Amino acid sequence: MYAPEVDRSEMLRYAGLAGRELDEATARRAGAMTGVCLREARPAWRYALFDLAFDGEAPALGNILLPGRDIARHLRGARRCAMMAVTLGLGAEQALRTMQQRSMADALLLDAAMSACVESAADACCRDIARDAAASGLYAGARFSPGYGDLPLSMQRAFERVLGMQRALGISMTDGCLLVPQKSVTAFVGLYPQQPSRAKDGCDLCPARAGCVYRRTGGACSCPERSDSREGEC
Amino acid sequence: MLHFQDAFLFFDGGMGTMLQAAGLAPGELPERLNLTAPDAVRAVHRAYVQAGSDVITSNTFGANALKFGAETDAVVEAGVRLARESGARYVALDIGPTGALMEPLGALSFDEAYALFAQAVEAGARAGADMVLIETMSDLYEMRAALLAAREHCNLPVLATMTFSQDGRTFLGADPETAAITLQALGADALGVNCSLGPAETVPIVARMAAVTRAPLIVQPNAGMPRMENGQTLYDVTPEAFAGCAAEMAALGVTVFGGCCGTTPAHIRALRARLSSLRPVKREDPHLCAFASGQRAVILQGGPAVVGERINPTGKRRLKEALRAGDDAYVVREALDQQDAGADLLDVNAGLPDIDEATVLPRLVRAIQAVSPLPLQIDSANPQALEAAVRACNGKPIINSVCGKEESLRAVLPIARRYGAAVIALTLDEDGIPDTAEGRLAIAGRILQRALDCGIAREDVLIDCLTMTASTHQAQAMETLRAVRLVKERLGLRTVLGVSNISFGLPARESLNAAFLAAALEAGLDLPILNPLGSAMQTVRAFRVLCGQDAGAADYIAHCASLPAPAPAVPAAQAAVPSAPSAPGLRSLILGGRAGEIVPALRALLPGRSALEIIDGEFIPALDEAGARFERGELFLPQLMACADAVKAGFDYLRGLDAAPVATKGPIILATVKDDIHDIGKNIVRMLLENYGYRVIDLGRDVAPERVVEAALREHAPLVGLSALMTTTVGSMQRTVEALRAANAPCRVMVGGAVLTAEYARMVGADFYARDAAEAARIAAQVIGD
Repeated sequence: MYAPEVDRSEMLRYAGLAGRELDEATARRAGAMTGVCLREARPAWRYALFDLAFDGEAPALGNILLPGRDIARHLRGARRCAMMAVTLGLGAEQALRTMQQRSMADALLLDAAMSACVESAADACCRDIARDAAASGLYAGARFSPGYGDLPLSMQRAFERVLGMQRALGISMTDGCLLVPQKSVTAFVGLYPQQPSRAKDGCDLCPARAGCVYRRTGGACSCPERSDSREGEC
Repeated sequence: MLHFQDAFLFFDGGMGTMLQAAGLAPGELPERLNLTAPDAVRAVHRAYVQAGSDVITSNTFGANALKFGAETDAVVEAGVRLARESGARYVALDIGPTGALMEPLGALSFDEAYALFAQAVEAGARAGADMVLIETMSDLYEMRAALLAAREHCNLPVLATMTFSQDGRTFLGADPETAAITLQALGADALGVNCSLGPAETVPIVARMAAVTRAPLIVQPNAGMPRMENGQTLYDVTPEAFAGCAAEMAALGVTVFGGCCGTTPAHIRALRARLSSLRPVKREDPHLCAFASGQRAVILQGGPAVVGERINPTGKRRLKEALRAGDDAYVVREALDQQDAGADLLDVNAGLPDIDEATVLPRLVRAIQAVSPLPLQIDSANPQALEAAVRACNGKPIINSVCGKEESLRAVLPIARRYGAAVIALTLDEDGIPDTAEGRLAIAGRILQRALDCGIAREDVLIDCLTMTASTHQAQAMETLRAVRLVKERLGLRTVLGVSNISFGLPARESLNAAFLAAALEAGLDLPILNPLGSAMQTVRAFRVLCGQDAGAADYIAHCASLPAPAPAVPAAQAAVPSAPSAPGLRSLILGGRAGEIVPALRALLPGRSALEIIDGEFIPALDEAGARFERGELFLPQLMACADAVKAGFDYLRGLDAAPVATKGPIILATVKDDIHDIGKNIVRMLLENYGYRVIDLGRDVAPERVVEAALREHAPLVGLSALMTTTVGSMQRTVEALRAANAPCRVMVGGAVLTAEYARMVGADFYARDAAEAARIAAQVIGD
């Protein structure tokens, strides 16, 4: 069983507190909310591996066609591709809602802790994918999620179809294809014959770049492609 | 009539994998095959009949109007017909989750879910199903909607199974006891577990259910834990291993068996063969007195359970104001405070002459159960309000109350029966409250008989022997305690008392309450209704040590260790004339985000200053200062919100006082736009605006443009704030602004959210761009003024 983790510096980054000296009260709150996150989060994931074909320019996983330039460029050279879904669970979602009724300051920090927590869980899922890839001599690349670049959010529906996210993980989708619990991540992960370069697409592809509140405040979003993100395992 | 307890009954196994093997395309809805490939569906059913399944489950798991629209009836009817045509001895109408997440985490309301299930039930019953199987539910609330729909729209037996994760909880946090207690209360003819886990992992979950229910048990596990390979889901448990686990479950008293994902006719054949030499185990009715929320069960065993009394507007100015203003957030905080203080259940009462209880009480129930896992006690004298609230309530609530009057018995007992709620019986009737314990016992006995006649279980009847005020009915205190003893001895029923009433009109009420409470607990009181924020909880904790409920006094010791050290004694003279705390004291508490210290500071300040002076002279300048520091980068958002938390605590205290001002500026309407569900930013803005004294009408998240327009027109709101976090939902924002303009709503519009910029804001037609919460407050001041 994978136990939830919270990377403190990532958490502070999500909270817009990166690199700041924390006053004692804020530090105490951050510690308490890390504890709540670890107690309430039930990280779980599922993934499926597919042979990757190209239908013209467009990558295809079985009968699923991935639209847009950006994902095609991202998966160039990949032989196989994983579809993964990770979540902290509905209990975490509920805890976040409840915390907003108790204290907005705590809720903000809990939200940040959970963002860091789901990222760590996604990294752990990617380690499993990388292990499976290694068994067939392939290397896992970086995650690429619906809504990033020109890959439409509506691709979330393919994740439900393939992974049965609702029944297996308790992840459901709104009419507008947003995931509930909010602390959930879906992504495509390419598997390559050579170790893919660590060059990231970065924030340039990000549709939210213009007004990104994180860029403005020196924080970071939860996107693994962001130019200043840690080197992930996948 | 089918029996689920006297002999083993065998259902069928997995459908989806079999249909895929028969050529179902990935992504195609399996239920559609009932119309497009009936032969394939019938063939799967027939294979199970040949393997020995007594009951064939129709291929209608997801056949509801959300997925099939106008075709729903045809798909369901065809599904039942195909099962029948397979030669099945019995056909079960299969009902799975709707596929949409229910409120409060999702968007589907209880009534909408109920309507979807009701339609499928009616179609299935029409087509000749012999029973209804509701399965794979991970949301107890959704299960409740489905079970009620089945019970109210057909006369068939209903079997109900939930799906659990490896940690023994559903996705929404219900444990096996909570599920079993709730499903039994709602009248499931059999209940149990299906899907998610393999048979070995299912055994301990079934064992926990068996311990708390008298209902027959049904188990339909997967063929092991799922594993994905080449995009396919695989299950590894062999038919023999599967059947071996089933024998273990039969020993626990399970009588109805089948399989879920990954099981095949071979699994069913092995199951039948393995159980053919066994006989069903006779189970005892545990006769538990139990209540439940959506996540937690309270079972009365070995000591009292505390009911928090604070959500009751009688004599509470701030709560009255909150109920009238529709400020459910305040009520929710009262719930959380009592939960934190150690309440086991919460009484919910909205009885005010000028509000519509039948609307407000269910709304409060929904708001409280969205954040608190405590079971609820629905408290009203209005039967319509009781029914509406009990219907909205998840789990198994308590109804407070019925009494011995004919009118009350006729109105309230059927509600308790219909929803499987426990019910509190007050020992009074048309002739009033008897003076003697024997008189009250007689009424209790009469109400019990009526409840039993109505089909309510004996253990679901709780007796309130009625606490009389000692200042006016001194002799009655001991008589009430004697009545508690008599009810326990003669009727064997659980008892309830509202404790605080004893001391009304007398000084030092807590002392009287404590003495009475201790005596009542010794007399056998099971459910004291009290204020858990006062000292009464300590009496309960002490009693739990004495009666052995708190083994080794562990809870008592842990609680005492968590208490703050007592403050040093203050000389009397100094305490009587508080040196007026200087203004910077309050200001620095706010700027330091020290919410817990605000109320004591206010108490000290108030004798000399009015609430309004404090708000205008302390709160607002401190908030402005916090906003300015935030702007200069000296404070960050979590710290700004800590300041806001502190001011909010202060406001709540002041609003509970008599001469405090009510928020009248505005109103300001806030909404997170259609298709967007990320609302923490909007909630931050709301809090800050409320701190500045604006009345905020929060429409929530994923709000359609029409709802914003409707609210803006109805409320004549001068300012509307819209938030969007996603680039994809900026379009919804634009449509909302356009709709407001088209309707000539006399309002200005401010917009904000992570992806917004001043340029975007202009583009969508907004009047203002609020880059953060502090800016939103400045915009409000500019538009509405002070």
